[in-house]
Amino acid sequence: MIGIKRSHELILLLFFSGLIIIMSLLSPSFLTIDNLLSVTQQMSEFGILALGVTVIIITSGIDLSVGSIAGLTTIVIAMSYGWSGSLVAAILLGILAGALCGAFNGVLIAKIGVPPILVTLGTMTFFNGIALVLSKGNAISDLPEEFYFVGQGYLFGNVPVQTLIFLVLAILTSLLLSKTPWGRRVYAVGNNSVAAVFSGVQVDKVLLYVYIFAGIMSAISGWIISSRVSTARADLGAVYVMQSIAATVLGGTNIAGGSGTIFGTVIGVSVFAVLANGLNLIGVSPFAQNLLMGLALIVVLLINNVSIIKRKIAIFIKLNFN
Amino acid sequence: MTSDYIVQLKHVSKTFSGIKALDDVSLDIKRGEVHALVGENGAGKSTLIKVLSGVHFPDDGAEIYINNEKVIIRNPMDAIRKGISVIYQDISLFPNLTVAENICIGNDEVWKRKLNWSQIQQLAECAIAKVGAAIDPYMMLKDLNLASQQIVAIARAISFNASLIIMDEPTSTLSSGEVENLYQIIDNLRKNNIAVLFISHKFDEIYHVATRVTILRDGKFIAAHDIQDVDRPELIRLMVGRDVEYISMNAEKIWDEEVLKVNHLSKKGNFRDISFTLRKGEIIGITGLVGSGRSELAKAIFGLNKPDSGEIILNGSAVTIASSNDAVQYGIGYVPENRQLEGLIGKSSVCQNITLSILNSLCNSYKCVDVTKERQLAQEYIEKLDVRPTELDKLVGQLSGGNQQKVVLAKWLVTNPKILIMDEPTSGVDIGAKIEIHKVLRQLANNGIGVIVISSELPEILAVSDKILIMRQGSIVSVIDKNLATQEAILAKALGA
Repeated sequence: MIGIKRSHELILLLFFSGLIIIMSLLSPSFLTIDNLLSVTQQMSEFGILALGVTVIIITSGIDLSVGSIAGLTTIVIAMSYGWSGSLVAAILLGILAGALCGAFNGVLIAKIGVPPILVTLGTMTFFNGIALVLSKGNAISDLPEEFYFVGQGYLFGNVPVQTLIFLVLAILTSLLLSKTPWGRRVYAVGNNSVAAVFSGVQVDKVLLYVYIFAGIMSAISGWIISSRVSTARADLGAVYVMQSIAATVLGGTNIAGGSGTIFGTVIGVSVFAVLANGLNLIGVSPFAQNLLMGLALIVVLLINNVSIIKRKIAIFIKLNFN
Repeated sequence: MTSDYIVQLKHVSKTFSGIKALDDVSLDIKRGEVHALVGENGAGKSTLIKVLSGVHFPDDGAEIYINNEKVIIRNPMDAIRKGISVIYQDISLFPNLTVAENICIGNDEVWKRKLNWSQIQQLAECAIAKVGAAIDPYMMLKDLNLASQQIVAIARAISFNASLIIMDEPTSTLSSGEVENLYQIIDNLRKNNIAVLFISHKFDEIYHVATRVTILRDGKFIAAHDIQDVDRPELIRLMVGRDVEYISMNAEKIWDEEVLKVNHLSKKGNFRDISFTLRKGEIIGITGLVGSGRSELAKAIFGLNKPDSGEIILNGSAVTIASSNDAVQYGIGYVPENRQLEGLIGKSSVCQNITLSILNSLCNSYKCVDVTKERQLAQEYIEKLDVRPTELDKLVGQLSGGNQQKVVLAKWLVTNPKILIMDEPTSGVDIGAKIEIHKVLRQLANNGIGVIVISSELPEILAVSDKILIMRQGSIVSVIDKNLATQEAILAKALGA
């Protein structure tokens, strides 16, 4: 796992460095501290989602509902603020809502055994539905000034607050995965859940906490998004779902589970953010941006799987030209 | 009947991650004969038919001849087109298609871009008639019983002009009347000059239908004989006879203390009314054919297979073991049969595999795994068990079979178990490592652990156990003291011969 991971992360780092060099050559305003900080600001929201998604994909699961959880969180925060008047209580309730959504996913997946893609396909719509019913489909904007701090504020001069939150959460997740018994079990379950069971690991418990963790990350992401746009709306996290999965996979997490690092995911997220920012600065149309970002993902994954491709070709030759 | 060879295999080897499942095997099948393929569990029968049917690609150097012409079998469909069809135990057809569709799918004559349904029906009816059966081609396959599904599979083989039909334990799911019917069909095939490769554990059947027999053992070709030239004792001897002698080790001391007592344990379809006692320091060997309920019983004790009735008593008190985690808490360790699938986290390091079951007890005050402590412990055990190479960070999937097994063993030893269950402890392990593992087992028992060894390998059972339980069809049919047991007697009991 370690050897393979290192080599993938190296390829990705090279790709990332190349990208930065090209962008700075093409656009003089790219390689400035202000711009780079704004890149980190743009990537934090879906980066935090990707942290949760990474942990889930390591267990060989998937979560399509993270965006809906983020959206629901924004509604819960805004409504419970309106009802209680306490911002702290509102935010805590929002995060609790995210954790409960994650637990709901987790129970269906871990205890009942429904495949994650089906469960979260359902809850993606279900959680979004709850948010729409609660908000009657409206955007809620009567939020206090202090609420805007995490999404629009700066610390230490001009470092965006959400960048710092992302950094702290990334380090925390990385430590959870690499240092704690739970983290070890997450990898074990993703690698070979049968062997994990045969080793006395309570796989259902591990998975339950994995989905709760992702729920909490989604909630934090939702909190930041609604703070940035000064609005709560049911569909606020929706655009980030596929992007966070793509960034995780780009970062080297095996979609079949068992391997992946937070470091890789952070680079994966950065690649997407740099591409989006750089292409914007150069003046590439948003349509072509999508095309290029998709292409980047495919190219990196092909490079990553080059050994498999080589083997396939070798077998093909052996069978047909011998 | 002509006596030329329809299929010949020469120098067929197949290696799976360093382990030779087949080692230079040859097999000759004459046109229109019924050829039995026999061998113990793990002898390589399944691998051989998978090579023959295009599922596995053999190692370099293998030669396959069909009709005296050298061929390469690319994939299962290629094998079928070349005239080799397999009737699998679980049938492996499409339950939601009709009988006719199941027979004709993939057949170039009728399965074209534009399907001609009348042609398909005709071909199917014709094939069923050739088998000598009456099945409505419009029925859904899933609405037929297993015996009829098997007939459909045979009809499919015939419609592809099979010259060799491989039947993998075809009678294991049939009633006795249906077995008679199958004998008729096989007879019919023989008259039509179609050869049958018949894989079975049941000697009555082999002597009833086969004209020739090939014996495999430990992945190697042992002998091929006309069936009338070998009697049953000789056949058993050829199946079990080995060149190596294990060192038989006796217990230093068996305590009176009962660490495990199983009382009338039953689970429908798995095992019935199992009772036995395991004492401290004792090694019990459990043997029997695959499917005799051995592994299911072991899993029940380990909390992975909930029994319907009966009780499990640990150190004098009845307990419910509802999960593998419960079992670990009770001090039970389980080394499963399938090391790759059930025993190891292959892409994880030796060290992390060893400590997987005891991570919580390795935590420091920050609730993090104390890596120094972890590595010390793992190091201690890989030295104790002589795992090679002695690299803690080596991925466990890259070790040889014997060393992998030692890692699984180490994983359980660090939990300080009172009971250790080992299912096929030395399958796919080379002979040197086998003897080492046997020694470790005896040592553990001498240190006061109660050990259960499940094995199909009779010399192993004889060498390691103090007491031998023989299982057949879910029941313990015999309990033999090791000093009174012979391989032939055990196999005879296990086969019910």
